[in-house]
Amino acid sequence: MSKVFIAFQANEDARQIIEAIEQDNPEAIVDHQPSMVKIDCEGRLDIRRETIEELMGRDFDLQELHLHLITLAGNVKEDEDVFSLVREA
Amino acid sequence: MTLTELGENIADKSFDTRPRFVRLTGERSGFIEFDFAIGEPDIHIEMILSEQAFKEFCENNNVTVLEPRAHHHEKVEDIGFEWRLSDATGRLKSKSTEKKSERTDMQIDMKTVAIEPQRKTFDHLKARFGDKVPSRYQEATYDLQVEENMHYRPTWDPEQNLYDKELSKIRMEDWYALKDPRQFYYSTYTLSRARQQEAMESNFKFVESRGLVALMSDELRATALDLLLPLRHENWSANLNNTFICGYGYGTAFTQPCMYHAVDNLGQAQYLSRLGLLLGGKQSLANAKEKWMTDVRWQPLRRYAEDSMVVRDPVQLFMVQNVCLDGILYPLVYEALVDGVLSSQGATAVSMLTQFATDWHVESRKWVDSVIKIMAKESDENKQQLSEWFDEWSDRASSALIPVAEIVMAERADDVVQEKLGELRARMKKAGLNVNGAA
Repeated sequence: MSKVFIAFQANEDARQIIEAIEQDNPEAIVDHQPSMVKIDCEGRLDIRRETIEELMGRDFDLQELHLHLITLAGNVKEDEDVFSLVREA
Repeated sequence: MTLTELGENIADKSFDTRPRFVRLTGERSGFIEFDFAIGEPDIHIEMILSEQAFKEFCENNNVTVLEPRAHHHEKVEDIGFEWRLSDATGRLKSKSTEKKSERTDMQIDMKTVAIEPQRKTFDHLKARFGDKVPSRYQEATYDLQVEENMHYRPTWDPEQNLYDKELSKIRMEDWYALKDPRQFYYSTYTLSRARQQEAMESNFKFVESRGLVALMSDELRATALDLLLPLRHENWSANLNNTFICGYGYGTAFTQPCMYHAVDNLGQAQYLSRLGLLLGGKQSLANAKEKWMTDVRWQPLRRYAEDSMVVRDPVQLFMVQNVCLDGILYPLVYEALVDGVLSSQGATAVSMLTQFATDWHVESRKWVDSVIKIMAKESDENKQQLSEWFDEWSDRASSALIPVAEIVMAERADDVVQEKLGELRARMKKAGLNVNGAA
C-alpha cells in the first residue's frame, strides 16, 4: 500500500471538512501548514457527506469541497455520499 | 596663448598657420579618432578618419604628433568642463554597458518560515476544546455570559440573580453543552437570513409581476387570508417568548439562538403582513386582528399564546413555544394546508409567499431537537420534567389548532392535526423523551 493525500486551504469553511476527515479516518495524519492543511493517509481516505453535514449543521454537497481543495493524490472514487481517495499497491 | 590673444594674432596676420598638430584620442570600429590643430595645439577640432585616410591626412599636413592626454573619466558626470563631443557617443557609453553585465549573476533565494503562534486561542476555549484554533462560532459563543462578581441582585427582582440557573426546573451541569448544530453566530446567522430574504423578495416580485394573485378565485383568496393573517399575532407572542428565554435562560449557547429565533418570528410576521397587503389590501390586516380577537376559531390558539406569555420557567417556555406549538403549527399550516390543500386548489402563489416559513421550520427544528435531546440526556429528572411539559402542552396545542385547520378543511381537520401531533411525538421520542403512544 502507498500513500494518498489531500490538501485544503486553511479557512473557516474547510475546517469542518477536515474535522470530518479526522473523525472518519483515525489513521490519517493531519499536517497544519501556513494557510494549508495537508492530510496524508496510507492506502485510502474517505470523506463522508453525512459526517460533514453533522458538523456543519446544514446540508452539504460533496462538490462544495472543491472550493477549498488545493491538491490531491490517489484515484478518486466518488458518489453523492462518499468521496474517496484510493491507491492500491 | 589665450583665445583673445589668438584672435588678435589672426587679425593682424602675425598668427602662423603652418605648424599642424595631431593628438590621438581613440579608436572606434576601425576608425581613428584624433584632435587636429592648426598653429596652436590648444585650439583643435575633433576628427575621425579611416586608418588609410588618416595616414594621407598626416602626410599632407606634415603634422606634429602630440602625446595622448593622460587621464580618462569613468563616468560622464565626472568630466565637467572637459567634456568632449566624442563623450556623447563613444567610450563612456560602452563602459557603462560593461558594468551592467557584471550584475547578471545576482540571485535571490526564497523560503517559507512557519511561525507558530504563542497561543492559538483564549484560555477558556483552550480549557474546553484543547489548544487548537477555534471556530468562529466557538469564539462567539462559549463562556460569553458573565458568571462572576454578581453580588448585586437586580433591583427589579431581588429574588433572583441577573443570570440565574434556578429560574428553570431543568438542571444542567454545563449550560454550554446546548450547542446550536447550525452554529449560528452573528455573521453566519445574518448571512444565511440575507440569502433567504433575497429569495423571498424574488418570490414576491414574481407573484406581483405575473399577476398570480388575480388568477386565484375570490373565495380561495379569502380562505388564505383567513388562515394566515391572524398568525401574525401568534408570531408576535412567539417573538416575546423567545426574547424572554434569551433574557432569563442561562448560557450564551442556549440564549443566543433564542434571540435569532425571536427575530425570525418578527420576519415571519412581516412576510405575512406583505402577503396580506398583496392579497387583500390594508383592510385585510385589520380584519385579521378582529378575527384573532373575537372569532371563535382563533380563541383557543389566542388563549394558548397568552398563557404561554406568563410561563416563567425559560426551558418550559421553550417547550411550550418552540417545541409544542411551532412543532405542530408549522407542519400543519404551511406544509399540509398551504403547500398541500390550498396549492392543489390553485393557490401556488400563496405557497411561494410562505416559502420562508416552511424552510425556516425545517432548519430551526434541528436546533430545537438538539436542545431537548441534550437536556433529556443530562439526567432522568430532566427527562421526566420535559416529558411532562411535552404531554401537557402538545395536547393543548393540537386541540387549539383543530379549529384553525377547519378554516381550510371542513371535515378532516381533526385527522390532519392528529397526524401532525403524531409526527411531533415521534420527533420528541427520538430526542429522548418518554412519549406515550408514539410510533
